Amino acid sequence: MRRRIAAATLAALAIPLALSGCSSLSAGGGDAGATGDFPGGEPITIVMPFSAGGSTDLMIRALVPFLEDELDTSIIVENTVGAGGQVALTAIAGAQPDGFTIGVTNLPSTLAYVNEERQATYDQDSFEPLATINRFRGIIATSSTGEWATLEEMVAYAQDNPGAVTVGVDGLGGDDHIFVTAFEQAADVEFTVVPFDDGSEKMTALIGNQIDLSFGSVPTFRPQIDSGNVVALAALDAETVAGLEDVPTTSSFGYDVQWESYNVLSVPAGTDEAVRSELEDAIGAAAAAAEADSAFMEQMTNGGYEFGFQDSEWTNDRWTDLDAQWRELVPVALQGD
Amino acid sequence: MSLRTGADDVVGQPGDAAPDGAATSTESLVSWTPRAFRIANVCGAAAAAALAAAILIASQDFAFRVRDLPGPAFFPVVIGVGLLGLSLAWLVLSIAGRIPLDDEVEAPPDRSAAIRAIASLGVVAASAFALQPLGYPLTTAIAVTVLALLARARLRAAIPAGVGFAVLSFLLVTTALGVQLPTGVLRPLLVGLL
Amino acid sequence: MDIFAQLLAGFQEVLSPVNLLFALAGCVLGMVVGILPGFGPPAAMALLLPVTYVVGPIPGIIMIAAILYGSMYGGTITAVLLNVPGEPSSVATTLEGYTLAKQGRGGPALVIAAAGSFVGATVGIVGMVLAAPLAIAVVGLGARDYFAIGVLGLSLVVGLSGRNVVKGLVCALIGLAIGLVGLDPVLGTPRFTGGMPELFDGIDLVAVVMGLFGLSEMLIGLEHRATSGRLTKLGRIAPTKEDWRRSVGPMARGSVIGFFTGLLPGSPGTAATFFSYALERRVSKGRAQFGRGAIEGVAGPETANNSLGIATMIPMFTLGIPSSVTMAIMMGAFIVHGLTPGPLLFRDHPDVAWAIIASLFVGNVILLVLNVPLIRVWLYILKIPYSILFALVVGLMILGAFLVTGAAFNILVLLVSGIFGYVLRKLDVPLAPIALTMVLGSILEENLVRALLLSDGDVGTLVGSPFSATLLTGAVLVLCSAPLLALLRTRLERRRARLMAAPTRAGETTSLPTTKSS
Repeated sequence: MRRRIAAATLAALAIPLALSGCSSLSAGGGDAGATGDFPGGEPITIVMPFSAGGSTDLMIRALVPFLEDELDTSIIVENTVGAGGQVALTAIAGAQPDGFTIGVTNLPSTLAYVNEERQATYDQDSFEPLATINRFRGIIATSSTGEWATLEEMVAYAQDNPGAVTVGVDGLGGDDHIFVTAFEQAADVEFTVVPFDDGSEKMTALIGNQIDLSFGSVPTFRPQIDSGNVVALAALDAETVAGLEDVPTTSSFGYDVQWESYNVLSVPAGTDEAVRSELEDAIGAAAAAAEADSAFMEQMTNGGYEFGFQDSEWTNDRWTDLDAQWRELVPVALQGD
Repeated sequence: MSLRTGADDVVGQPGDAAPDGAATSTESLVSWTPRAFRIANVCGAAAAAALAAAILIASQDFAFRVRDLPGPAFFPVVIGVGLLGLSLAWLVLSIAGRIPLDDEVEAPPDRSAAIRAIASLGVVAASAFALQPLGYPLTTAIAVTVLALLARARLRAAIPAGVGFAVLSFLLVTTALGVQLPTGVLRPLLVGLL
Repeated sequence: MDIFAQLLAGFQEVLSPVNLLFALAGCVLGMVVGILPGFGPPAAMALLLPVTYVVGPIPGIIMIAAILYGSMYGGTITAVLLNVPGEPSSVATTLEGYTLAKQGRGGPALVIAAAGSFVGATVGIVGMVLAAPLAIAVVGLGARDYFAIGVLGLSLVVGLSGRNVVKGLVCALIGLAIGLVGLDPVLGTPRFTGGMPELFDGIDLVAVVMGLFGLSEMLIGLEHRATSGRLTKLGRIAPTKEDWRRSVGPMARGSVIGFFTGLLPGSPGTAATFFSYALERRVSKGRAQFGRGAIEGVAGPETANNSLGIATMIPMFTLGIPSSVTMAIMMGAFIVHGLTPGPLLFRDHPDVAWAIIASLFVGNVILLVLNVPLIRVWLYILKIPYSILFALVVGLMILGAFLVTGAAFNILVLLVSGIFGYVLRKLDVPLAPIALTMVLGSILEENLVRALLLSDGDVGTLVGSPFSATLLTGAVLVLCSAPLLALLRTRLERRRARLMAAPTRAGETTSLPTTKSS
């Protein structure tokens, strides 16, 4: 019996080995990374700090085929989830700056490095942004069975009863918490901030009136708004949000608070400029091809995305602005009342 | 088929098996002496108490209360105190010899098996560090072969098992499941395969 | 009735060749994923998301869902035959399942597990068809209610500790301590991480469970002399009439437990299998046999696990709330096709909704049909010489640990947990409480803080809702009744032992190990 096992194992071995031999021959000389024409058929990895199926993941995965066409190579999306993206971002910042590792460095969630408690080993200088490919719009949401139908009512109540209005956030110091803090300052109110470490628990609590408010990007709330469980009190923006045109903007109430969040692609600092511009151009071309694709754009509209390419310079400026804004707001948010 | 050494005939003394359960094939030769078991339990309880103390000491760095609510140190302190109390209870029971010792208790580690177990753990540790530089297929082939040898397999069985497992699992994961595994030094050979 | 007409239309849709093919593909892939520890369903589902863009929502989502429940069937195999659980929820199955396998009853255990999985899934599906209003009621539960669920879970530890309660409780607290590692749920302060970002999300439970239960088991196996395989006798595969009879109650109870746990979006899913295990240990007819291979201990948790798996889909389908990572991926698959999970799905696209619900049932039938004949094949694992099996299983665990996050770090977690499990086994410390409490810690902590935040620090809030008050009372009852029941049980056991001593002794010789191998 033993001999039979050994024979079977050997047979099982031989086939794949033979296969791999063949294919490596046919791919011979594909090792062109250093010699100029990037990427030269070598696979590129996109490191994704978010779990599969999330709004960022869905859009990047939809874009990847277009980018593969432009770069003429295969692209692997690697979901490295952990610590609100910190594990992935640490890996991206520390990756070989050869262009074969691209990171998804969403703004402002990447800015969690501002919070010293998080002991991040990277900051803005650790990355070279390539492009912004999507912008998320944000809203203030409440349960449809909640107490207030308008933002004014809510603010009036909150001003009369400091601390009585509760707002759920994804962990203290997280991106939505910072926008909550900005709104508290602008509207001169004081909320009780309740941390959640899971978006769906927060949504359940909102619908079930366990918490009063939630701040977040449109795709997060879209299904709940459509089904009538949640209503948007205001768009955290100066202009109304596509698909939610009836919802007034915070600016229209005189609160200058804007939700800004972007899907950003970056490479580690130190990546060769030629490689960077190659990648940036490819992303631009892929975005243009995607925009011309009706199925892709339908997905984007369905998901509540505002797809659109912005170059590295634009992205760098946004990053610098947001970084400054966060350095101001994070301490306020964490200090609390 | 001499995978084992020496006499095996003492296997599975069925004597005290539960009346309704069957004797299993995994009884071993030696069992704890009450004294050795007591000492082992005292050590275990002491280690648990030390862990509790470490938790309590490390929790000093965090706030116990934040804004009138339980802070980051609250749960660690509750757990640390509970663990300390219970491990002391375990300690007292062990010293008093009140810990039940019967045939259901695993036998104490025997020397040669312990050495092989430690060596196997060494292989696992080494493979963690070798995975990136050597790549998955090579690391795994070596690791599985060595593990089989440590478990007293013959070389002519161990090598096919190691190489076969490495190749098949690599192919399964990279092709059927589409997950990238480190290719390491075999990268030139494998890159065409991916 | 309208619902049944729609469900029937759903079945017609699913039974088309394309949809059946995708269901089958999902089931098979799910089983592979289930057998491979560490590579969880989310990774496989994510991988296939792009496929749904191409093939359209119905076949795509059918396949993605099939991966999820297929993996649950697959996970049982390593748990029962090798004592290597692939995730915390399989731990409860290993407790009795592996003992049965060692006695040559791995076949019946796997058949019962497959049947239980099928029953659980079916109950879950029926519940899903009928229970939309329940899901809405569940949204009303708040932090204090989930805290109470956590406390009730903790009270089960006593039941899991076996004969040595003090050691079991030490173990439970160690499990809670493992759960402390990572960012604290309130301020996000890193605790006990040594500054390693890999630990900020906590120690990965899959790696811990593999090490604690699986690796330590393999190491212990090195010491035993039966080197020609785990078992020399495969035994019969079909369960006896007695097995079936004894499994009915556990399956019924398990499916209810799993269903309600799955329905609650923030509840510790893993706990459902332990709830079932602990309950059977108390109430089932074979309770005296627990710890020595009771089929009830396989039937209950397996049924609960699958009923749970289907029930977690309910909040997503009826409310659009994904209560787990896997559900978030499924929801993503809906959204890219412009479908909104929730009440609107049933109003605007009833064909899609009902086809997917019908596919759950069809998929489970496929799995049952696939699995039962395969059990014969799986049992041959036990014929592999232990030296080779040892190497292969440890190799599989190294791969699994690596796949958890794609980093070698978790191999070290596996290693440390393996050593830890080995030492605890040698000291006769029951391990099961760790698997339960390490998932409960964060639920307890988060919900306690959240409840107190929402009540302005008033501790009275914890018993302020009827639900939480009931559960907390239940927990107290469980804790108090334990000593009483234990006393009763030993009495019963003694009597039973006296009664049964004579007949079993006679039939025992068949399962004695033979040391000869061919």
